[in-house]
Amino acid sequence: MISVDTIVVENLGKRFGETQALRGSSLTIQSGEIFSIVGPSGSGKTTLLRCLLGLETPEAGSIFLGEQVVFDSEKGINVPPEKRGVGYVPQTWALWPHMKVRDNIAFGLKIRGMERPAIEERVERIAQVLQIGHLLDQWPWQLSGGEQQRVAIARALIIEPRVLLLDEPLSNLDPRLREDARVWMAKTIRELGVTSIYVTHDHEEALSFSDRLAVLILGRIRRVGTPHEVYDNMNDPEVARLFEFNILAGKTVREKEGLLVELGGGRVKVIGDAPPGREAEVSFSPWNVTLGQGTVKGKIVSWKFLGGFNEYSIEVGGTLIRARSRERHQEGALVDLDIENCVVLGPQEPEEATAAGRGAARRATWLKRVLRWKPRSTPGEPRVHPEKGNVR
Amino acid sequence: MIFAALSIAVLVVMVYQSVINRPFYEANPQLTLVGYDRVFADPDFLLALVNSNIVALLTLLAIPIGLYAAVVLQKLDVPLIRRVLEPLIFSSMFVSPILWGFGWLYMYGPGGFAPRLWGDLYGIVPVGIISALIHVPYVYVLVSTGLLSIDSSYENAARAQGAGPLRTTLKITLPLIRPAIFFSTVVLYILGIEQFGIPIVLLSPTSRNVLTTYIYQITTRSVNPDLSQVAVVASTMVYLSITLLLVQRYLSLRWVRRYAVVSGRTRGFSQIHVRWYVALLLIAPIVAYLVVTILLPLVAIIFRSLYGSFGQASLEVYEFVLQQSYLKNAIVNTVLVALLSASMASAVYFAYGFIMVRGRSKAVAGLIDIASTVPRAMPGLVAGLAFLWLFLFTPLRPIRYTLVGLAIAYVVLWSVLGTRIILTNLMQLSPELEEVGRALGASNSTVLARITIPLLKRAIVIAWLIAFIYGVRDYQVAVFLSTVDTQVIGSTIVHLFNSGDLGVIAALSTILLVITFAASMVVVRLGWKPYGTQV
Repeated sequence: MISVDTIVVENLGKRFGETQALRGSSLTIQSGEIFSIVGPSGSGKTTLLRCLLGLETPEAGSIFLGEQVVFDSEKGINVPPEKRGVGYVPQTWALWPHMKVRDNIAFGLKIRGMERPAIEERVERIAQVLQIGHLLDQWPWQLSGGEQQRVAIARALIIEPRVLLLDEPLSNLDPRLREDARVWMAKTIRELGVTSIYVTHDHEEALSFSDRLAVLILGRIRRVGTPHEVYDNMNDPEVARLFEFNILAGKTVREKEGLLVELGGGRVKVIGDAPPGREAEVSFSPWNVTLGQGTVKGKIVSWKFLGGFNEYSIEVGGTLIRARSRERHQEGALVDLDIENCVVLGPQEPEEATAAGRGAARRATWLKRVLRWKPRSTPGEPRVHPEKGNVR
Repeated sequence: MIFAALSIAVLVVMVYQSVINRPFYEANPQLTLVGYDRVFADPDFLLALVNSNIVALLTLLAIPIGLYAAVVLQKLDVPLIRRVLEPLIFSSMFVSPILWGFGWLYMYGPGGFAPRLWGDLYGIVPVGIISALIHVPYVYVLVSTGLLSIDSSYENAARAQGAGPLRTTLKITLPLIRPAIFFSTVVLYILGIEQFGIPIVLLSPTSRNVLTTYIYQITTRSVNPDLSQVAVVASTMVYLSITLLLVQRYLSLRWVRRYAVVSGRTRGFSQIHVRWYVALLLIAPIVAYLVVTILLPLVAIIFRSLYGSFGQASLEVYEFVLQQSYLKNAIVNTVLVALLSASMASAVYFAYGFIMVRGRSKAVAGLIDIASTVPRAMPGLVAGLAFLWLFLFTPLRPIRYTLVGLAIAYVVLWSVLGTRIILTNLMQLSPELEEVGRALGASNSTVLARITIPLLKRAIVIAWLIAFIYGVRDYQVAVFLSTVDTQVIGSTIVHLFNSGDLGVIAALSTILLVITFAASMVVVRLGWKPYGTQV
């Protein structure tokens, strides 16, 4: 069941009325890879998935599944979904309520006119692999959420698809089950070696699940890379917000040990490049803030106990940041902070963008900056997160 | 698509005929309003117009009764009683109105089982009151829809503030279902104007007319009726109901936002628990109503068919009916035409619903929406006439006076309810169920045949049965669309009524009653509740 196809998406554009859902998105997904597309709701990730499936027709661009062109706007090629050989696990799993589990799984093979004994054998085999053999003669509504999910995956895999598309398949599970299901799913898919595209809004899910991931924001791909590459170099403000990184602004200084930024009365070493002596924004993970040492001065505004660690809300130079630590600190206390792995945010260009996309991207970024421009936060007034209200 | 076009054409033909000076099939017609001048100068017409409005106004008396029944049955914690009474209420909605006329006549009329219990039955006011009594189920359904959509938290909040159950119902619940009460008013007024079955039975001994009987009179009493005159009267009725429907539509759009409780997620439905004797006391009037106005008249029809005028139970009348070839034909025709129209209807309504929900084009969906609702604005009698003209003077001529033509008319006219049933069920179906099928290699038609239609099986069966019932119970459309060979039971009853053979009418009515009740019981058994559907 090893698929040997590379998936190439080039410059895909899709518009719904006034909204541009995809703006020249390009991706290359390697054979056998588990690839996540992560983005906030409304970012176009589901649209991208539906374009791959053939359920939506993009206005521009092309899609290759291996050697085959399944969509090309210029040549007018648009292969209908049933001819693409793509496995699809929708968000609701969509098990057909009028068929038993066995018939749900067998559907794709029946459509292909396969002989009954052969179908039976294939169904039994995949059921064994996915550990749902005991469920075959039940109705979908008799199954738990986790079981339904496995059946949906079995149904998608039985046609030996070239690629498996998963649309937030964990979002309908209750949180306790989600972790187990994620581990199981990642292990199973990896063992089967099927190329998979996994769409999610949960960045933790994307980081833990995938070989590589793409961050899609407002219809544009902002970052592509392995989970480590993306997490350790959070140089795009939008991506940083999505991953719930802290963002602070300060003046840059060039010293002999490298580029520093002035934050909360102290100085922090930063990764990346920016002209010295100017105001710059930096991002860092809540885990990379060390309390009780360092030069940055902060005041603990509030804290909450989250089991294995505490999460602190700390005011630094008038802006609230989040920090995670095992240590206990009092509310209202002044603390010294040290920040590691601090990355300068830049006007990030979408990666793998083609010339046309790049131009549009630059214009949009410029425009967004004009529209989003706000006076820098004044002391005593916590900065408000543009989408989520106060930073938690 | 053909059906959608037909439904609009029928309306157009009627209105067009009303504004030209000669029959629409002749050459060179001229636009004129002379027809309106003439008709509106006719005192008989004006009287009928006034009478129709009196009947419609009196029909509104159904609102307090239906409101009471709905609040008591839905709000009290009496599931068992509700389960017994509701099927009866729902089924009575399917009874042909002309049967109500006869039922009341046989039960409470001069020669009935309980004569003069309600005083004189002949006259405009009795027609209005009976019309109110038999339309209570419609109010019940509309109000119940409103009640069931109220989030219990509104009521619970009032209870928490210290309001008792009665006060909560009066001050919170009733104001919240104000839209439902208003819709009932509009629907009942239209139904009151359209009344034909009861007036034809109870007004014919008098010289009074309502609009429907007036049209019936001018088209049947003359060999060569004045098309323009008929069209003007018919169009006037159409204008009345369309205006009311538009008002309703407009206000429902406005109220959706104001009474936001109607939409949104509900946190369950609150019911009031009362002592058993209080419940009994509250439910007793409803049971009494059902027995007196619904059960007894229907039982009277059956008794009348069995006892005839000799005072001894016999099946004599039925033997007579089966011996007379034209009566036997009518029964066979009724079943045939109902089967035919139901089968066409379920296919057409499914197509309507599918285009509206899954179609790519908004314009086409809107057009289908209009096509499926507009025919509702035409009273059955008027629609029958319009179809007759359409069949006679267009390429559709070969199907005039055939059962196929009649069945097509039924499918077009009563598309609202069936289409709604399919539509609501289809909307609840996640598109992902179909998309997965496509991804797995099934073509559009395969997905339709193996996923969509099987999933909607129940809704399609219900739509089929309801179309079947409508087909069986019709007595208006067929009056104009059938000849001697293609009579159905309903139109035969109307024709027989003029000759006055009440025994045969009772037998035919009983047969109708049995078929409609059997079918409607199956519909209710299938779990169909009319809540939320358009009446």
